[in-house]
Amino acid sequence: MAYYKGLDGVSEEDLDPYFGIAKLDEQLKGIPPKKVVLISASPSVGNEVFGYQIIHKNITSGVKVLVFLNRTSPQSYLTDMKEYDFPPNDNLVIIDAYSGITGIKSEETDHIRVINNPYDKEEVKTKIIKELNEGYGLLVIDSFSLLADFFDFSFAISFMNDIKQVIVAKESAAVLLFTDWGYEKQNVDKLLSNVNSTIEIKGIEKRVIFGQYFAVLKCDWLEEKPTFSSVLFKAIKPGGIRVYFPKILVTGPTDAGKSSFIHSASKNAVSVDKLGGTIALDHGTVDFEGYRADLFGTPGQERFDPLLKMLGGEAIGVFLVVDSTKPEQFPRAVEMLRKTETYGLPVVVIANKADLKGALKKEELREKLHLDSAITLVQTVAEDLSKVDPNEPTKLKEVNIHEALSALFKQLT
Amino acid sequence: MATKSEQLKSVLQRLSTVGGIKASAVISSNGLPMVSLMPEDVDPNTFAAMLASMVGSAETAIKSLGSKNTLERVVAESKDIRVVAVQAGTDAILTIMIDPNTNYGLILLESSKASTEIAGIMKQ
Repeated sequence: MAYYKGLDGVSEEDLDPYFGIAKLDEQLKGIPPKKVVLISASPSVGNEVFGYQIIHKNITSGVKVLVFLNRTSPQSYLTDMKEYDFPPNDNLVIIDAYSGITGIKSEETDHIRVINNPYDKEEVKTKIIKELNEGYGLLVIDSFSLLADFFDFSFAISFMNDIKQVIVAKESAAVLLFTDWGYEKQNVDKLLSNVNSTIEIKGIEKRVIFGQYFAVLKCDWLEEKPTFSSVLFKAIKPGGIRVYFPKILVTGPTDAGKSSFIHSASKNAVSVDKLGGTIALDHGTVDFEGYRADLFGTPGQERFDPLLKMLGGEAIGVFLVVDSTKPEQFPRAVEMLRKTETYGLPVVVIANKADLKGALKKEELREKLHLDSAITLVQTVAEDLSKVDPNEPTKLKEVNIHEALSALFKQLT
Repeated sequence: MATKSEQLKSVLQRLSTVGGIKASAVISSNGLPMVSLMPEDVDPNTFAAMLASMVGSAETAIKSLGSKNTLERVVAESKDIRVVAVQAGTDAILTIMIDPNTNYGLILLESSKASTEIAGIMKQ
């Protein structure tokens, strides 16, 4: 049973294949039957991890996946997948169209079908169609561009159309991995017009943000166009594709709990502190529901204000942490948003210490902070009050942390 | 035409041939890693954040002492590692990790040449 657990924590269960990639599944709602998806990468970025992740997501949720492989041998393909922590299982069958080229003899097993002569168009076509008729939820072709190189582009397109017929008849779906090595534009256009959805993967160099992004160029099963234009991602070993936010600022008045928030949310947080108070910054990496974000925490004391501008630069979202028992600090909190030059970015307010004596209620907090109704306010409390040490970051309750992360990640695209 | 990151990488690769330079990275003044040549066990994100905050703090400190010039470099030393951060234009910082028992003068010279090049690449 395939499902996708999004930021809302709702699992949508059905038998359709999913991408297993945050944002894509949220927006495209998986890959419906009878649809063909093209994952098109520019030469400088790899698309193979998208393939691995899609395969892994589906075989682990009970969808039978057939992989047509002409890029490498099945053995090294599986080894590479394992490096991302994507082990194979019984739902995965690979058609080996590679070993025949190298002259290495490949043995047919329960999970490997062999194309003896990969130069023979007919054998390639009949074998894949015969196997598809056995009933698969998803076909992955890795790689479609190699198929076009090996024969020619017009064969690759007619091959795809033949496969599409079987897929429609068998209620299956297909993902084609494609790298655009500079093919003739009319060929590429023809390919794009023949698929149901195209996801583009490219490199990005925007001022000081260097990275990779994916974008949905086309998707014919959605009535509305997805709301995101491009999404930064990282391919992490092990773990796979994560939607990536390079800089999220955590700011707020002194002793509100910024460091506690960062340490509770991330697995490898580092603080520069002396006797409990942060003096330069906190840094932590968050992995959550297919997202990865780097959190930068500022000091709260006013004497560090000259540093705030540097810390706020290039941030794309903010967590503003306040102490629920200290309304007198709220003007300072808002001032910090100004000083970090992040005023106007997506913000989630974290009202920490919500269970302490004298803590303001949600409505009081909103009123005192002059919060617009569109801004999310999340209350957080310590996991165990008896363990609070003023010189160490406190562990905050996980459910609160997750609520805050979901609220901000949903606003960032 | 090579992309910015390829050009930056080639500057770092050339630097790595200078004796004593163990690792290097270009980070943004805001603490984001851009390109790096580092051992695999170093987390470039944390490293970049810490380095940028060192440079930011040093800049503020030196200005408060009345310096009329911009900050040239920040050096941090332990017995086995020396880290040098050199401003490369307004947006970027070049950082290198070196063995303290090597020709420091030559390394400083090479790194300041490299930082000028990096500043040029960033302006493109």
